[in-house]
Amino acid sequence: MRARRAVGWLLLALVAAALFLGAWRYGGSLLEGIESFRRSLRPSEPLAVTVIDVGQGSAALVQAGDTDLLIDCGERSSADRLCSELAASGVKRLSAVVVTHLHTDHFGGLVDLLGRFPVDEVILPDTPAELLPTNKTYERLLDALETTGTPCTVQTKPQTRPLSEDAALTFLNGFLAAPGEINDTSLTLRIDCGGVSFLITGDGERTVEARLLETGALVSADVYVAGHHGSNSSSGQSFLNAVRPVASAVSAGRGNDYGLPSAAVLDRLAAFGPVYRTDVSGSVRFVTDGVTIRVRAAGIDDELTPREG
Amino acid sequence: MFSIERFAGAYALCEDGDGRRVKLLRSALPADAREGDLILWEGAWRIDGTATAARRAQLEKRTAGLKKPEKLV
Repeated sequence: MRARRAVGWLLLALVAAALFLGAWRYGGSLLEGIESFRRSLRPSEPLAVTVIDVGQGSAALVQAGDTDLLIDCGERSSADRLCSELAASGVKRLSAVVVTHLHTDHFGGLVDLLGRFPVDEVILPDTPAELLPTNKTYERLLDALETTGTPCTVQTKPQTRPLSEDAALTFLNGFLAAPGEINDTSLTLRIDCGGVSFLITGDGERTVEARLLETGALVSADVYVAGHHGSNSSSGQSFLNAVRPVASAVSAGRGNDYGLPSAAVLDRLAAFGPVYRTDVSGSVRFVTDGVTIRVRAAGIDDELTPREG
Repeated sequence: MFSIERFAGAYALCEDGDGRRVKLLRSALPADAREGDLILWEGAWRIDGTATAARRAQLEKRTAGLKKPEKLV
């Protein structure tokens, strides 16, 4: 009991010392000390991609230099969990939030996030009027975007945006001329840092995958975040043969009602390398210096070697 | 009235007017039901095409009116 109390005091003293040193270093107040302590939580490597456990949904935090960018936000019911994870990752402001497509398990969390974090820009998928959602959560998203005055861009074409000196984000050409459903409007994103790359396809299904292959989009990637939560409607064999990931991540809710991820997809992914699942291990964090990739999750601390060429 | 949010496996995930999630069996809905359709119960599920079109037009207008960035990167 006494030993446990002593450890507690020691931890408290360490935190206080960190705050004091931070304040001293920045020559400012205790609040600035707290801020510097929070900043110390940020990854020191050039790029970190965290596939956040938001239950049955998707959200991925991309941190490069001073840029924090979020790709999808999970369901609205997971907003507290999402915001806690962002704060724990040292996020104070988001340079952009990308919504891959307008399903609530990808945009719902943004409704409440907008009131809790400053967001410089929201990037939306190009959604034809006849496919726009009619549900209340979408109406509440519009309310939140209007109230906060957050600038919104509709991503209509392939484009590369720098994230930092070391990393860049690219919207690949998976745009369908005539999407038949909301999943067909999913944006496909590629993140590059040195010789390491990540691919995130939202809920893009095989039509989007076929379009990406047809347009010659650069889909080969070291880490593939499996499309549509590991559904068999995505991650087709020919697409995976082009991606050739050394590892994959699947974002799905524990014990979900939809049988996700599918056993067939897990088999296909496992043929290329380890598969990290949020429903098994919680949030999965990939950190890279552009040469190697470190993977951390509950009970996991792996180092991956990127594919050459 | 419910809005069909999306289809997932055997289910149609819907929302009521307050945003509460309602999970319906897809097989119970009309065969031509699509995401975004507003449906109501009249002994069987029926798509309200007029209400759907009006709701879409309203939200489309608001979507088009969202603030644009001052300078595109």
